[in-house]
Amino acid sequence: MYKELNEQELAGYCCEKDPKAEEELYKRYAARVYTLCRRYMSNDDDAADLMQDTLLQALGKMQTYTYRGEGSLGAWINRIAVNKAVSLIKQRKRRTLLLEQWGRETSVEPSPEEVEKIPEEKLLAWISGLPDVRRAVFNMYCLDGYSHREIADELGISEKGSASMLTRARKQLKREIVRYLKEKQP
Amino acid sequence: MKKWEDIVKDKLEAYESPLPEGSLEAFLARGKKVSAAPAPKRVLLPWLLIPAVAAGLAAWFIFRPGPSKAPAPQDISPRNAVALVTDSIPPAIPVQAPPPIPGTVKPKAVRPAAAVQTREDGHVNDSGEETTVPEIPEIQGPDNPEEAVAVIPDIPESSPFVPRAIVRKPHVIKVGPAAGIVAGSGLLAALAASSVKSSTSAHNAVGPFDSPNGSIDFPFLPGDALTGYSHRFPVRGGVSLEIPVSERLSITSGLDYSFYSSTFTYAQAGTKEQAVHYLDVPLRLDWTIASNRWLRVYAGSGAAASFCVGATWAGNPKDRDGVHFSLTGAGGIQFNLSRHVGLYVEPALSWTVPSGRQVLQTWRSDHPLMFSLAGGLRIRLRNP
Repeated sequence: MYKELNEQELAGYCCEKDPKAEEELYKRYAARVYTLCRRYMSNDDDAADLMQDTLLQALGKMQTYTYRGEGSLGAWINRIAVNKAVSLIKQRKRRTLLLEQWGRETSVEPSPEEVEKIPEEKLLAWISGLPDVRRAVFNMYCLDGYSHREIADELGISEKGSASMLTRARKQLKREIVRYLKEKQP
Repeated sequence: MKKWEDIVKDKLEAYESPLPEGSLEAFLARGKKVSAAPAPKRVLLPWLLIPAVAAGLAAWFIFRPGPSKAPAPQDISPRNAVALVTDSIPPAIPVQAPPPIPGTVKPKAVRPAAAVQTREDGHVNDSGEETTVPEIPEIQGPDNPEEAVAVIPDIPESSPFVPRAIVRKPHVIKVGPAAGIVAGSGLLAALAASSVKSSTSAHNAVGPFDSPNGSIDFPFLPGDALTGYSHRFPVRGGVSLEIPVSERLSITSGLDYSFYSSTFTYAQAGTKEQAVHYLDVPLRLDWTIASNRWLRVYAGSGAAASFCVGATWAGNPKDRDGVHFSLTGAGGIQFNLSRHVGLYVEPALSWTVPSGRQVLQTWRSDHPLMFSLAGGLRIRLRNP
């Protein structure tokens, strides 16, 4: 019965602390939220913790959710996850080592068709291997649609700094993609 | 035309990662814990008290007696302070002592002792007229007059001659757990070093004296001459424990094994091998310089205690030379195998504290300040 509920109905049952509805919420959104968390965190354990915290917070604050159409509940939960991930990254503020080769900058742009063939797990591994702030900027700008101004406000950096971090993140990921494609070439 | 990052976005948006095992059960268990916590009960009565108290205060402000004459600046002693307060009480307002309630505990003394004397002596105001101080109603005091506590009533703040009490905030020195552990360990190490230094041990070891002036006695064989010796670079490894104190600070300890091998050459007896084994217990405060998922670069300093657990000379057991204490500075690289386990390579510089007793001649005795290279397994006990 709970599988047929739409988002608004599911949110309503969750507000009433229905255990079956909460389980259904987890089954519907946990995997996507986990993917998002893996993008923001540097390891899968932190991502799993963040995913649990996100869903529990969503359940706790379900009464503040307003239905705005199909997909809005998922987007609302994703927003909670992004906010929690960003605050975690701000807390840590760790300088991380750069596992990048010092060499000539590649000017080859991978084609969309080539990138299409790359497994998602590889992409997630490369993104989570980025340094903390760079990873957050790349995720927020390229994947979650934030502007540089919003990123600067959230992370406590300048807009220029955000743009610079994004450029470096793109370069690093591009290098990984090109290297992977070269290795895969017959 | 779509960029490669747009393709990445589309792929990851649609992708559902495989969830960790047991995550649903963990989620449901955490959800039950959260919902089992009792919700705070909202009681209506406190909310009704607020308007009631506000109404009471308003009534008091409206119907309170008129302001009394401000006391003239005078020498404020406790006796006169009481007189000031009693002067301000208008005689028209009858003050009656509350009837004693049978069976209740008598309160401690509230009656100021000075008030009694003032009442008896009378009071002369500025105009020179003698006025009588209105009677202060008797207040039930304790049975034992010695328990009476003289209470100085509140001195009106309007008087410019009243010195305000000097309030000194207590200095609070917060010592974090890291500082406490390091300081405590340092103290223990110093105490241990001093106790070791003062103890006398009977060793038959034919080794040099580890003295501050650097004199060394070489091992000798009766009737033979030592023609040369060489020490091999010590080897050290072990299991290290890392206890994170904060994001970048951590305390490192553990158990290391060190092996010191030396060769002594004699004119007649030839070469003799000496092998000495130590177990080292380091205690160090490390600072993480940089890290990522797979790598951690750190540096730290601390101390170590090395316990000689075995020594052989030409294959035969030899007396051990006790405990050595050293100060260490190290830097290292750690390769993270998982969240809690890693392999480390750690060059270190250490200075062996002179113990003033006889020690075996090893690389350490010839090089009190020595460089060593250690490696091993590191276990991270918990997250910061």
